[in-house]
Amino acid sequence: MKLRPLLKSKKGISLESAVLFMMIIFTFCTLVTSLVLRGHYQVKIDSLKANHYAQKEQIGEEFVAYLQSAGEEDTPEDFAAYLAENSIYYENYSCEEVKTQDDDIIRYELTVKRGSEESAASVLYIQAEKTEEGQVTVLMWLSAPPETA
Amino acid sequence: MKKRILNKKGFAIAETIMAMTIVSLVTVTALMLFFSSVRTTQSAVHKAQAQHFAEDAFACFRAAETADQFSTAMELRGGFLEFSVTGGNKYCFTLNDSKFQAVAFVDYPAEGRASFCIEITDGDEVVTSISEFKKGA
Repeated sequence: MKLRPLLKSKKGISLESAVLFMMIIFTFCTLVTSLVLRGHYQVKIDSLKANHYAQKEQIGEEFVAYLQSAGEEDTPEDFAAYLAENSIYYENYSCEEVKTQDDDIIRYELTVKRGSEESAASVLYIQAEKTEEGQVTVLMWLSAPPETA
Repeated sequence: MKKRILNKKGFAIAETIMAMTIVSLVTVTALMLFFSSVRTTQSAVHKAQAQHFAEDAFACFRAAETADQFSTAMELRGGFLEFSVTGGNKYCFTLNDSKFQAVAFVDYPAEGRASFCIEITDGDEVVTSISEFKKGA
C-alpha cells in the first residue's frame, strides 16, 4: 500500500486498523495461551515421571531386600514369588531374573522392563552377588533417567 | 466491500466509535488473558520448584545412611525458609518463594529397612508427592 495516496485520501481507515490490531492481538493471545498451557501440563508430566522413577527404583530396592534373605528356608525361590508373597504389585513393569552359581558365590541379575512385551525397553538392570556367608554386594545398578522411566 | 474500498467518502465518527469499541474489547480481553497467564505461569514455576525439591529430598534420602546425614544433605541443598523435625522422623519445610509446605517422613530404624515419603501441599491442595519408598538394605 502506497503511503502518499493513503494520506491524501479523505476516507478513514480506523476500522481497518482496528481489525488488523484485533488480528495481531488474537495471534499474540493464542501464542501466550499455548505457551502457558504447555508449562502447566509440563509440571504434571514431570510429577508423573518422578513417581514412575521412584516406583522403578523401588523394584530395585525390593530386589536387594529379597537378596538379603535369598537362599534361606522360608524365602521364596525367585523374586516374582517374593513380590507375590509380600503382596507387592507393580503395574506396567515386568521383571526378568537370572541366577548363576559360580563356586561359592551366587550371581543375580535383574532386568526390569516397562510393559510386558519382549521388545519393551529395559529401564533398570541390577547385577549383584551373594557369598556363602550371606554377604550381598551390588555390582551394577543401571537405571534409565526419569525421562524414559 | 469493494464498493466500500472504492468509496472516497469518509464516515469518521461512526467508524471511529466502532473502531474504538473493537480496540477496547480486544485490549480488555488481551489484558485479562495476559494477567491470567502470568498467574498460571507463576504457579507452574512454583510447582516445578516444589517438584525439584521433592526429587532432591528423595535423592538425599537414598544417599544418606542416617537421619543426621539426611538433615545435613537437606541443609546443604537449601531452598527452604524454615525447617523443623518433630517426632524424630517428621521433617517440615516451608519452601522459598511460595507458601508451599513440604512434609517428609524419613525413618532410619536400627534394624529393618529405611523408609521415606514426601508430600508438598498448598493449603489443602497436594502439589506433588512421592509415596512410601523403602530401601532394600
